[in-house]
Amino acid sequence: MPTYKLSYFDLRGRGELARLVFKAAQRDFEDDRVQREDWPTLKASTPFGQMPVLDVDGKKLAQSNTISRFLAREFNLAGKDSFEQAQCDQYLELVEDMFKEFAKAFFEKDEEKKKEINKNLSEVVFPKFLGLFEKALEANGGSFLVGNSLSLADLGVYNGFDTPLQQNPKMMDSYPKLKALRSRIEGMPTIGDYLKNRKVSDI
Amino acid sequence: MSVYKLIYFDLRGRGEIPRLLFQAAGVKYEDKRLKLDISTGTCTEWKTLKSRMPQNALPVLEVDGKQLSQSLTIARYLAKEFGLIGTTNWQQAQVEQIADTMDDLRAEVAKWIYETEDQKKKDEIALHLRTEIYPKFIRILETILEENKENGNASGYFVGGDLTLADLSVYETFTFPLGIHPDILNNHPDLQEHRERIEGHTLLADYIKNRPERPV
Repeated sequence: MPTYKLSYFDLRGRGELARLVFKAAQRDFEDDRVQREDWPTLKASTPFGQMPVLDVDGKKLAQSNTISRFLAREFNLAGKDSFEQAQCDQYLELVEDMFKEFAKAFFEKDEEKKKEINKNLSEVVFPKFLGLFEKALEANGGSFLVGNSLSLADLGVYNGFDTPLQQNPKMMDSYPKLKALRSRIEGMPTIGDYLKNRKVSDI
Repeated sequence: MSVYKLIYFDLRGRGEIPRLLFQAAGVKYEDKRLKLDISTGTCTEWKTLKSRMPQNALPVLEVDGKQLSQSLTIARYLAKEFGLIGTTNWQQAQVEQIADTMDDLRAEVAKWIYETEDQKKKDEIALHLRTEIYPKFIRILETILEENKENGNASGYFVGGDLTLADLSVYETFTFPLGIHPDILNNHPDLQEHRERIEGHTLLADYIKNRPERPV
């Protein structure tokens, strides 16, 4: 059984999905939360000067989505065959597309522009992505995004909406299947506890 | 053998890595290219097709009629099908790590491409690419090649001693930057050799030499 260590800052950000994969799979790992002041010294020892980094028996892996996909495959949370794996992948990438839009608001310093971006987010961008995910759930029978059981796709979508929902808790109210999927994940063993008790972070 | 169709604009863009994968694997596919009106930058065919695509976006890969979206997903799926993604889960992750990193580079270069209004800003972005971005990613790639040599892999390929999606990602991601900044690999012989290795590869040479010239 390999030993896993995930190093990332003490927030959700780009480390949280991998943490959710471990929890969903009920697998142990060292959740190495790096404090900001310790990062500069640690940086040189990482493959690409960035986090998250996954250490598997001493071998290191970078790139948040690569790490999540790798773990999902290891723990059978990546679909039952190559095409289902690709379908999981596809949803992860769609979440990335949504995140890129969301990040524009986060990084915009100009207040006027920020207001415009946020308006566009709530009126155009989020409805678009909520609609795509809801449709995808319906097309797959309603319960999970890929196959008949929880996969990386469901965790990715759950994780992708965490920060938006924190800022606007009602945003998913007209998307019943997506809402139900969130509740379903929150009711699962180990990951349910983790989600209930994890500390709140802005991102 | 599955029947493949790749739908994308008549550009390299986000369709080219999947095309290179088909070439490298020697697998036939329908290369559906939607033509753009260069003068207006619009695509009439796309207007009618868009609503029929699962994410209203391209590229889309059709596999025996089933549709898959997202360029990186398509690339990973094809690489997996064609044995061009390493032979173990760990190797696959190493290949993906490089492909994902190259997508980060692509995103940085895209900022220059998409800045069409403010020339001063565009020049600033170009300077940032030259002084910060290219060096950072070149260093990452050279480090991997050096570590490979230390670990007994002197093949010049990024993972596992033979061509994978990682090599095609690196090759194609540098195609556009080299067009606007032709000298960036001048002091990086390992990476220049890598490009030559891809351009000389039996299954890729003809395709790369003869593929249509496109702005991106």
